[in-house]
Amino acid sequence: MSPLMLKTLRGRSRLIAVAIGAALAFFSPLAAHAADGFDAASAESYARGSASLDARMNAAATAAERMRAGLVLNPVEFVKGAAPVEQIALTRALGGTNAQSATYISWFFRTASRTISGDPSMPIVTFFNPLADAAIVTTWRRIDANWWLTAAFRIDGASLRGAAGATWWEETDRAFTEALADQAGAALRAAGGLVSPQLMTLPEIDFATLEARLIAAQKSLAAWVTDADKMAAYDKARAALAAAKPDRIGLGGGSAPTSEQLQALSGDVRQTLTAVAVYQRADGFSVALSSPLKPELILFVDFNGAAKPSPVNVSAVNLANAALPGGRS
Amino acid sequence: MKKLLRAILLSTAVLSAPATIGSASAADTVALKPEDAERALGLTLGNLRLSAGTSFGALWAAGTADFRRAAAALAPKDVAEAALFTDFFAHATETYVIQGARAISAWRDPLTDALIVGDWKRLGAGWTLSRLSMVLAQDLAASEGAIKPLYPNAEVAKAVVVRHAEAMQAFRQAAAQPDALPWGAGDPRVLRARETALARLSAAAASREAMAVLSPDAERQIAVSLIEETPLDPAVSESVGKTLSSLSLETRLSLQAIQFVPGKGEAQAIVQSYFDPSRIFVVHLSSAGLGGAVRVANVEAVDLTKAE
Repeated sequence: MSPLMLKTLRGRSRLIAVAIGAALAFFSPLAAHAADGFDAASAESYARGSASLDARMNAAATAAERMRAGLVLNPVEFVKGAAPVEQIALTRALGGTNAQSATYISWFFRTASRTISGDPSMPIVTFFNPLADAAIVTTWRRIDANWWLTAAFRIDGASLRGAAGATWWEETDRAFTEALADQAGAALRAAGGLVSPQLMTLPEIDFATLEARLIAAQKSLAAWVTDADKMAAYDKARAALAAAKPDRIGLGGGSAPTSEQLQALSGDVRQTLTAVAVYQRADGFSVALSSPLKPELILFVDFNGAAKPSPVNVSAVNLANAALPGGRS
Repeated sequence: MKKLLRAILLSTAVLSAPATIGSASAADTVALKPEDAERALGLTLGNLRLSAGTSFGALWAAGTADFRRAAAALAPKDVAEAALFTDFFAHATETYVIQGARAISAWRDPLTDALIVGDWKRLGAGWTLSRLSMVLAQDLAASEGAIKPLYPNAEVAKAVVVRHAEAMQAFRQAAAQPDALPWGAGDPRVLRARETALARLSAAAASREAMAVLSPDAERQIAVSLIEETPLDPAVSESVGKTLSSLSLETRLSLQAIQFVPGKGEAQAIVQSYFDPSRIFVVHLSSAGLGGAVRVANVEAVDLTKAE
């Protein structure tokens, strides 16, 4: 510290600062060379405590991803094996975990994009699910050399954006992809700037509303997969996208992602693309596909309304781009 | 209250909040076993302390009309005093002596060596506060002349233990003759205790302010040693590490420096949690170079319950 900084203190605080500073010899330029007792172990400890903020945030994000993987694969087992403080946080935000809720929880996290924000001493990791237009906002603390989930909140996408209104799938005057990119992008930008004090005031979405959205997504899928003709059309389209050959089903050109763009995705991402929701349009259906390995990418395959549906268009929304300032897919 | 709950949830991530620490109601049952009466008083004191340690408004809201009437003499004069009194309760441990249908309680703040003493009457299943006052531990028997320094030498941890043990012994003796305690708001012992406590709390606040400017990283280094990297930190001994890991998570995560004391070639931070003020950690900080960088050189753990 520069002795000049003492000017910012007054009265007793200044006297105490002088006393502490004198005790610690901060005012001497030789202090940097005064290495009494500063051994290798102390250096290591100090370095650990001074780890770069980015490194801390990355480590917290890794811990959050580990949690996400557990909740995608088997929420019941994951919660059962979590530490008590994490169980409390998860149960508070997600309700009890059982066979039925596990399906919804798994679906929520496999299609959620992640942001990290806040103070590195208590990072905030937000899992925003664009298809439910809701987020699970989590806080993390480092305790005994491990990262722990310490709190979790359910926040509506509209609350994050700070603007009420129809959700993207309720909009009728523009394409799904445009409305999704717009709303989810705004929510993710807001989530990326969340700081702890905001968590005091952001209203939580109630269980019933969130559950209704999750159930609607599940039901839309169930209605699709039980129809053999629709499933056959979907399987064909999914296989073409997994092979990065949209032209195989006559979907090259226009706004559709090109074969090269699909090739740029890793094979793992393409092979794990799965239908996650189905939306009815006036002239047919749109099937949303995503991969848990890259949940920020959502592909929409539009099918016509025929009894034996055919794909008529494919489009992509990259929420990583949509979340950029002024971003679009 | 919703905001308070969420604040606690955020800072400590545990669902138990001060409001959930039960309070005894005078309108409850009639037949009360001695252990129930003791429990009821302990809960009432704990509830009031946690409320007061949050804000004076919360204390006033948590207390009954009888409590507010009895405590009026000690009410803070302004916002600054209220903040210092809030600090007092956040640091304080509580104790009591029950004599039949009467009890004498004390909240003692280790940073002031002052006690806020209460005179309670049993009423049904609960307790009613009839008088509240304040006295320095050294004045519990009679006024003792010059005020004793809190930390007579560099051994801060030892001083914290010794002062607490002396105060508890003096309180138990004084509680045997409760009417001899200084109950009047104008009593010189009460005035001296109030003035001394406020001055010491003000000094503690000033030390935190000074350290925040002198070494903005100090709080962070303390958190690294006591919370984040405890098992890997060579400055934390195995026994202190075990003590830390035995604390509840809410206590652990809410540990914070309540005072910095300059020593020989170091600063010592007195660290405590509002949730369990009986546990005190004295963290020795030494310089780690220019720019106010500090490192934790050693940590001592104090259990005030063992000093009683």
